[in-house]
Order: sequence, then C-alpha cells, then structure tokens
Amino acid sequence: MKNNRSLSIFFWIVPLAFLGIFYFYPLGSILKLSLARSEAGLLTPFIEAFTSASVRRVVGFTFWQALLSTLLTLLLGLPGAYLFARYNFRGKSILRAISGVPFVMPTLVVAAGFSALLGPNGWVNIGLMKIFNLADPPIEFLHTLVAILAAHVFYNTTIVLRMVGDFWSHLDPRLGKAALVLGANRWSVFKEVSLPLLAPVILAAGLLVFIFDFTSFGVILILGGPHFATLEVEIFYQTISLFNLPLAAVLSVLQLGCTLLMTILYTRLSTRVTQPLNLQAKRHTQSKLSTWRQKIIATGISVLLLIILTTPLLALAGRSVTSLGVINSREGSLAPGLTLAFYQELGINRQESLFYVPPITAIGISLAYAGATVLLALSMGLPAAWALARDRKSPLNRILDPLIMLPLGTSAVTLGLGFIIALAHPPLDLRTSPLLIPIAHTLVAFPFVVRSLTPALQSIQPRLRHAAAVLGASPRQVIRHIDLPIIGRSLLVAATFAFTISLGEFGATSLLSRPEYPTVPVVIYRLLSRPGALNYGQALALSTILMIFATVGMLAIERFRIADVGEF
Amino acid sequence: MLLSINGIRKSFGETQALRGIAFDVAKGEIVALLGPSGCGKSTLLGIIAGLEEPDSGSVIWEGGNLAGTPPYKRGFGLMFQDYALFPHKNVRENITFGLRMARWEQDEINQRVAEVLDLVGLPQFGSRDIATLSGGEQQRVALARSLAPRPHLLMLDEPLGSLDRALRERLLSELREILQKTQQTAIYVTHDQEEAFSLSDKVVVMNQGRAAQIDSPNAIYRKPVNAFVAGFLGMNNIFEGHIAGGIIKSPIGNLPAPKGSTGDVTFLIRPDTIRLDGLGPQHLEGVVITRTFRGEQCRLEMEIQANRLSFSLPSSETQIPQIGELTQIDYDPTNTIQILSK
Repeated sequence: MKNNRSLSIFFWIVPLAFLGIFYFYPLGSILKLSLARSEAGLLTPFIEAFTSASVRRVVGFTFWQALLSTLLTLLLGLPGAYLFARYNFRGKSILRAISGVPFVMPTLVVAAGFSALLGPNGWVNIGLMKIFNLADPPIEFLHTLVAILAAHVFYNTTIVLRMVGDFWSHLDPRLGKAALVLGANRWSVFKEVSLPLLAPVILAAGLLVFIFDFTSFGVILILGGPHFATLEVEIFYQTISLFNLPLAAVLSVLQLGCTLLMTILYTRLSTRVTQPLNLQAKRHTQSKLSTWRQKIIATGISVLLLIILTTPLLALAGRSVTSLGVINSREGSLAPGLTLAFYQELGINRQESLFYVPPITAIGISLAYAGATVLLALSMGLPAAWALARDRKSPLNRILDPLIMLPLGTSAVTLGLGFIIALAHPPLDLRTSPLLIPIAHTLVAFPFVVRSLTPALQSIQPRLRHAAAVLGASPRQVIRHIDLPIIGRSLLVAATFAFTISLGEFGATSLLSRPEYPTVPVVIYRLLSRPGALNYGQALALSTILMIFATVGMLAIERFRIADVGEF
Repeated sequence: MLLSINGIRKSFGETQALRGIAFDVAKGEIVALLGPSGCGKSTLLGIIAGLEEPDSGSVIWEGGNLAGTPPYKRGFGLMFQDYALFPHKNVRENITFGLRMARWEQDEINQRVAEVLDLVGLPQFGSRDIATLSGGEQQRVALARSLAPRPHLLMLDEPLGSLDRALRERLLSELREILQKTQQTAIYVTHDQEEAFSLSDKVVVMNQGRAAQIDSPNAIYRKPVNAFVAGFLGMNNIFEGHIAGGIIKSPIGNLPAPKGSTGDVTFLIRPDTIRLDGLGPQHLEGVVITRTFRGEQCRLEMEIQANRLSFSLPSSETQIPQIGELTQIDYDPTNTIQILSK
C-alpha cells in the first residue's frame, strides 16, 4: 500500500510541476497584481472597479447574455434530448454526429460562419436584396445581442442533447407508466416523475452551458462588436489596447472567482447525476415513432436542429468559394460566380509589410504549435491519468482529481493575461519562446486529455489480464493484445483532442501570439476586422480549412472513443 | 362479467405478440396468465392498463368499451416486473402518489398508508429511501403502492420473478393471503406454474399470443388439452398413434385406448401415475437411461423401442432402478393415457 502511494506521487510530479509553473504561478501573479494597490484594504481594488459604471455594465452584461443564452439553449436542446432519448428513427445517428460538430468548431470559424449566413455580405441578406431589389442589407445581425445568442445556442445545444439525452435514455420508462396507471395524467407524470429525476442533469448541463457562455470570447469579440463587452472581452481590450494590466487583473480575478464557484457547483451536481437510479439499457427505453403526431413532432425537432446546427457552416463553406461582385485588386479583377480565388490569395503576401506573412504560412505555424501541444499534453496527461486510474478513491487522488479540472473552468484570456504578467520577465522570460503558445494550449487541452485517458487505463483491470492469461496468452501477448489496443485508442482520442483544441484556440493566443508568427485563428481575426471583399473572402477560406480540420478531428474522436457515456 | 378481453391482436413490426386472445375475469377472481417468456403476457397487461393500444379487439369493463380511456382514468393497478418504484421518492411518497392523484383527503391518505404498510408487513418503513430496500422489501412496497388507491383491478407482472427461491415461496403465500383478505380482483402474470396454480382461481395458459387453455388450476393439471400445455407443465411423454379396435398402435407399442377416440391421435402418458409395484393392470418394459434426484421425487427416463418415456417416483421408494437396468413399470390406462387435441 505504501509502495503504491509513493508510486502515485512519482507519477504526479511532472504534471503537478507543469501546472504549478504554468497555471498556478501565472494566476497567482494576476492575483498579486490585482491586489498591488490595496494598501487601504484587500477589497479596495475591487470596490474601486465596481464604482465604475462601465465595469458594472460589463459584469451585468456578462451574466445577462450567459443567462439568456443558456435558457435559449435549453429551450432548443431539451426537446431534442427527449427525441434522442426515447425514440429510434432513421437518420438518428447522423443527426447525433452532426450535433457534435459545432462543439469542436473554433470560435473564429463559428463567428465567420454566422457572418457568412446573416452578416451584411451573408447569404440571407444577399438573397433578400436580390429578391426585393434593396440597396442595403435588410437584416442587421452583426454587432447585435441576437448574433451572440445565436452563436451560443449553436455551440452549446449539443451539450444539452448529449448530457440530458444520454441520462434520459437510461431512465426507466416504466416509472412514467407506473405513474400513469396510478392515476397521473401526462402533465402530472412530467411534473412528479420525469422532471424531478431529470432536474439534476438539466441543472448540470445548464450550468456547464452557462460557464461556457460566461467565458465565451471569440464569438462576442467578432459578432458582438465593440458595444457588447463581457468580462472576457474587456480583459482583452484592457490588456491589448489600453495596456491597463492592473484593471485587467482585477477583472480576471472576478472572472476566476465566478467560474470557480460555478465549477464547484457543477461538480457537485454531476456527482448527483451519477447516483444509482436503476438505469436501464437503452434498448428497453427507446421505441420507434409510431403515430403521426410523433412523426410530425420528431421531424419538426430534427429539421430545426439541422437548420440551426448546419446552416452557418454550410454558408461559410459556400461563401468561401463564391465571389459576389467585381473585386479589384492589383492582380486584376474577379468576376461574380464560383471561384477559388480566395484560396489562391492565401498564398500571397499582399501587405508586403515586415511583420506580415502570407496567410498560408499561418497554417504551417498552427500545425507546428498543434504538434507541440500534442506532445506536451500527452507527456503531462499520461502520467496524471495513470496515477488517477490506479486508485481513484485514494486520498491523494481525491484532492488532485478536481484540481486538474481547474483549467477547464479558467478562461483562456485569463490564462493569456497570466502568461503576460508572469512569464515576461525573470526568473521566467518566455516572451520569445516558441513554446509559449503550445504551453498555453496544453493547459486548455489538459483536462480533456486526462479525461479521455483515465477511463481506458481504468478499464484494464487485472481480471482482464488474468482472463487473457488463462486463455493462453503469454505476458508479452497480453500487452500486445489487451493493454496496447485499449490504451492506443484512447491515446489517439486524447491526441486528437489536444490537436484540434490547439488548432482552434483563440483566447490565449490572441494575447500571446507574436505578429510574425500568427496562428490561423489570429489571421482570420485580422482579416475579418479589415474592410474589403478580398479580405473577407480570405477569412472565410481560412475558416473553411480550419473547419475541415476540426470536423476530421471530431470524426476521429467519435470513431475511436471507447466509453459510451463520456465524462465531460 | 367484470372484465372481458375480446380477440385482442397486437403486432410489433413483423412479430405478432397477441393473436386474438380472449378471456373473462369475474369480480373477486384471481386469474393467472401463464406462459413462456415472449408469449405476449406483458403486452396484454399493457393493453388492459391502457398503456398500449391493441391493433384490434376490445377490452370491456363492466359492459363498457375501454378504448380511448387513458390509463390514469381506468382506476386499475399495475405492479411492474422489477417494481418501477420512484427512486426520488421515499417509501411513503411512493405509496401516497396514487392517492394524491385521486385527490384523497390528507387524513384519509395517512390512514391508508398506515393500513397498506401494515398489510404488507412493513409498518415502520414509511420514511425509508427506496435505494436502501432489499429486493423483497421493494416487492412489498410496490404491492402496497398498487393496492393503496383500492384499484378495481390489480395486475401483477411477474412480481416474484427476480427473487431467490426461498424468498419467493414466502412472499407467494403472503401475497395469496393479502389478495384473499382484500378480495382483490387480480390478473397475475407468470411463467411459473407453481405460482399460477397456488394463487389463482383460473389459469389462462398462453401460447404465441393465444389462449391455449382456460380452466381452473386443478382441471388444467389433470387434463391438459394439447401438447403445448402438457409440455409446458413438464409432461413430455407425448406420442403419435393410431386407434383401431380399442388399441393404440404407437412407437412404444400397442396400448389400451381410452373410449371415444378413433383414428390418428396424439396422446400423453402422464408421468405422475406410473408405479413400480407390479400391480398392473398394464405394464411397459424398457431400459432406464437417466436418473435424476430432485428432492422429494426422483425423475427417471427409460428407453422403449428407441423412444423415451419419463416418469417420477417418490424418493422414498426403496427400489428405484439403476441406470441400465431393464425395468417393468405399472400403470392404470384410465388415468395415465390421455388423448390430446392437435
């Protein structure tokens, strides 16, 4: 037993050292900076910040938009979850797979997608202008609250679908039948039986959605425009544009406190969800659509989901190969119609400025960062997962298990700010290190990596090895046929997670990237914030490329993951 | 008649779960639906309760057709296999659920809960959590929950199915006592003939969605009508034969034929009327090939002209033959040979 513990500690050393230097130290530095001017008392900087009307507005709006987004997401997600949980129908597995796509999409891609669908140069406005012969785009979507809400719903519906749907699909439908026979009408059954049983998982899913909406960055920066600042966006502006690091630090601490509280609440709730409820195998709980009413409702929900979850991405891909009008550039002009010109432009350095590179090089830079992230994340995540899998209930692991999930609840912009404050001067000056961004990405990917590795490592129980041995496998054959295939698949899943997360990461990167080494999302942001159809087209082309990478990554994860009920 | 089931049919895709089953239930009667798994018993309960709709046929309650009446307006009780107790409510809340739905007064509810908890022998269990109950306790709570609103008809779906044997036997006799004490009209679904026989006034033996035989337990045991019922009751000595001149010509030899039948017949040799006392009046001879000790009884199989015949002897019998022994058995044709319908 003692031996076991020291081995666990040994496994923990490297990942904990990494988290200590690159997570806790920067966060500590933020805290220190935010308290630096608090001679008058610990809370002075915070009280000062709150006397400012603009900070109050930012905080209020952050909560308000997250609440609205969460409610809308639940409104769309719950009927979908019910449909997925209780019925089998043709196209269900495809619909389920599609519903997972938004979740892995980089924020910049989503923002570009909504812009391509509903922006001033988006399909809907172009169509309406053509049909009604209008001079100006009739729908004002960009830089409105609606745009923010739409993107958040697009993003997070899948969380409700999967978390609530999975749980619901294992709930015994006979409980509802028992209530019916005992004299409860449909409404009472829902109120007395289904809702109380689902409440914890709905709350947990809602809270997770709320956390994501609360810390959302890219979507609000681009779709919300300058009028709608959330805490996250405000930290970015204060850091990059105004260089008011102390205020940024105060806001970060506020942000951290909120997400920390919500994360703790979420963990509490999710343990309640895993309480034993005599959960049933799916085949006992799902039936075919039989009546016309069921079929119509199911079709309605499916079509609605399909429209909301696919149109922005389809609009993006379509718009990236379509030229609308004559674009004049130094190289000549571009006629309306289908074109690959935007993609060809990616290889050309138009600006010719010293710190500007052709957009296509950003792909190479992003891939290099992603590769480094995979290596780093696996070498940190594997030992941690191994230690966790050995004995999840040991006192050490019970403390460390939630600890390693902390980066999940920390906003990427805050991480970036922490790096700027802590790692820009001795003893650790990493400003120019090419590893700075992969390290930040590793922190974001770390919880996902550990969460995908631990169940697989746990599933290799001694019994499995014994069974193989009794069946005549030598120790070497056991490793080859049992251990490696099981770990191998989840290693692949973990690596893909790290890779796709790194490719799409924008929050931390936006603060840390150097002008001469931009990543793909950074270039998309630059292109989107510039005028001109050519810049816009290139932004969409790059976004489409990123979208393809993310989709392939997600398909790989779905294909290779082992557990049915995934741990978030 | 209180309840009439008339020609109910129900299919799920290609499979026909029910194919025109019909039977009646009188007030205060306990009817057992007995059949192998997959014979449509649970589906039928769902239809009677109103949880599922039949493709055709009708459920008539006190002369009125129940089609279109939702389950919550039927006033029936249904005890599910594995009980389906609400995991988020405690014992008391589970039991009061049906009473609250029926809008009982609070003091009536209190009184009734105490009553049914007493009835099922769990008087102190009101505040217990469902998750803390053993299998047998869950079964009793489920029974109390379905009895509490005084259902006009109580349906029980394999209520003892998942319990171990000793507990089953104890709960079976308790269940019988409770149902009799409350004079509850009930339909009891089971695949276990012992449960069906010991509990019910009438047994409906089901086979592939139809009623194979409807009769009192005693009559079914004494005179199974066809090969399926006989086989399901464990009587496997079923042979084809031809009757002419008072004699059955059959693969196990010529036997005396019961009166009233001629031509090609299927017949049963009951395993429980065979003796070894040499008193006849008829004999069969064969070699014992298996011998299985089963507690009170010993089951033997003997080979007669390449056919197998099985029978039971009391284990107290002193001269049970050994395997390989050439043995002569005695029987009385009037209670041993039964003609079955095809």
